[in-house]
Amino acid sequence: MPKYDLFELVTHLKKCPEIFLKPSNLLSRDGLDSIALISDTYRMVSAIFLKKELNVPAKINFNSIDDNYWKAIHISCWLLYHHSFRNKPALENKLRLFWFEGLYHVTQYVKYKEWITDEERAEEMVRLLLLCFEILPNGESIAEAADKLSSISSVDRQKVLRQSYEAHERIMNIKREMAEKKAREAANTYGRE
Amino acid sequence: MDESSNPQIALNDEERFPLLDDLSFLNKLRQDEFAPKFNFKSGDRLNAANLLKVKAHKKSYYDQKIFWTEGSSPIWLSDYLQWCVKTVPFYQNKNNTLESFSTIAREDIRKHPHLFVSNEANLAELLVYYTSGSTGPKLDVLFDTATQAKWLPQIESVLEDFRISIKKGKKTTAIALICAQEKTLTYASLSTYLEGAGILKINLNPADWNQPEDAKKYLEKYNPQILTGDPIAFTALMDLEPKLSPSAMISSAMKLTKVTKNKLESYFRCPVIDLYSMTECRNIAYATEKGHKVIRPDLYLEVFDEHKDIPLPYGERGELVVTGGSNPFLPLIRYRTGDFCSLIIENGAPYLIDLEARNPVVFFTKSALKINNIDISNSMSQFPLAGFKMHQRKDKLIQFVGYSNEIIAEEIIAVLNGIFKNDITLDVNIQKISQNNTVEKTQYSSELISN
Repeated sequence: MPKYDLFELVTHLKKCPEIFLKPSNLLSRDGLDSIALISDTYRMVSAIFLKKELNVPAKINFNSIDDNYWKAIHISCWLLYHHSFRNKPALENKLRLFWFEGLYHVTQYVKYKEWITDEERAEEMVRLLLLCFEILPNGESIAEAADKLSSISSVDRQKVLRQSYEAHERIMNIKREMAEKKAREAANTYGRE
Repeated sequence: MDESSNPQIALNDEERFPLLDDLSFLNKLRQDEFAPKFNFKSGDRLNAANLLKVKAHKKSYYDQKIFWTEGSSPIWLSDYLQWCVKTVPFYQNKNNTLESFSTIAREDIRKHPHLFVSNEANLAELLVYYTSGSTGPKLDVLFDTATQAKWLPQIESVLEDFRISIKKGKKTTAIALICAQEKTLTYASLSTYLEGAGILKINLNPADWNQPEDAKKYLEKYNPQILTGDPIAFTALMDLEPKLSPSAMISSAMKLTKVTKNKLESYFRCPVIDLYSMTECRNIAYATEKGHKVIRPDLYLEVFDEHKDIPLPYGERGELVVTGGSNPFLPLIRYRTGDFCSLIIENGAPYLIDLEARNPVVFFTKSALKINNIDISNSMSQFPLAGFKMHQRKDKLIQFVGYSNEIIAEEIIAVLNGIFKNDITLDVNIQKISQNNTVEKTQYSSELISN
């Protein structure tokens, strides 16, 4: 049983070769063959090298995936080439959760290069992958792993930023309305207070 | 509550009364030959949804006779706290239990009115009033049309105790708010909740009328069912000797002495109800022989130590603290009212005992014996005073200003000398009440330190 050392996986991810950063051939003629890359990754993880069918959700339309998302998938394929993920048939079905749900949400907030240039984003991808695989990073409890992912989660950070922005917007709206309504006629007063 | 300045943007009658088609009674009130020189227009602005809220307020709360019992809290409290924590920025990150909330004060609302607005409150419905500032710096109070109109079912619940009901319909004047001031906004209006009944806010100041006799003639002609105002305005009204037959008079904003109450009741031949209310949460209680009976089951009341954040047991005197209300623009949790009393519960109904508005002030005899202002209030209630102010200077001289149309200075001096053990210098001045007064609310003050 591999140890899934976080530092080791992050180091591996950051060594992602340039070729994985190429656009998908579904978007660019000279691009990387994304479908082949995904298929290879499936075969490598499941260790079934004659596997032909891709386990992707029916609703996924590859043509609707944008460049930033494709590149994140390519980079994650490199991460999955790490020896600790090879020949693990139990993980095969969890790949679709990682690629098409976990990674999908987070790519909306992260530019693809940050996955390998920014230490925190690299750790986030590793932690996200381990979470989808239901694997605990070496030496961490469930609570610690959840807490650490939450502290660096781009989705959570965006949520906090959005909430704080919305709260600020709301207060500005109230102040604007207060100033406007002060100048306006209010409603009947019935008694003294 | 007071409108401290004339709003610059007026509505039209359709916006003032979205649900009333027939405004003929309003026009009659406005255009009557004896009508005052109204300086403003106003409506209740109730649309169908808000009218439903006002009616639901009456239905869900005012049939309720048991508010809470000693050792328990109202059943709505837990949900209310949860809602506040979830939707009101000022209360966010707090625990859901009442014990986890410290008290807040007027200053918190004054500094951050916007933080008390629930995220669920519809800003399109926001209304803003200013408090008069007579008991502190001016305060912007935020609310909506439904919260404002809930005054009516709240008062109906009080009147019910006197077996009085307000007649509805477009041929009757339901309420007249009587003022006797130098200047105030005046208007004729209607109430949608009371099915088009008339609402008046008038000022007895002769300058507001075309002819000196018009105030009397106008009021006699429309003979409002309920008169609201303060003791000064009611005394000024009584001086006009109008032939009115109100079902009840509701006095608030100032202390109503027993003698003034009796005089008003004997002249107008109706109950005069001494109502305790405040701008931040409206009506709270009315005076009975036992104490002030609380009328709002949607408020949870506690008594706190004046200086420390410690709730006091039932029966112990301290500052009244309010939680609840139905205003999404100002939901209160443990709000210090600045008023002092003790609290008892009788058959599930709370009573405020020895309620004294605002800061309690301790006075001193020349030889430093302490005199509680409650003793002064109790003694003054035997006089026909519409109001009074008492101040102690650094040299211990007591300045007393009373408002009355009767010659009572000597009697007051005698009573005060009794309270102060004949060990005080008094300066007593009784001012006549006119139709245009400039009376402040603050009653007691001192230049001496009480501790």
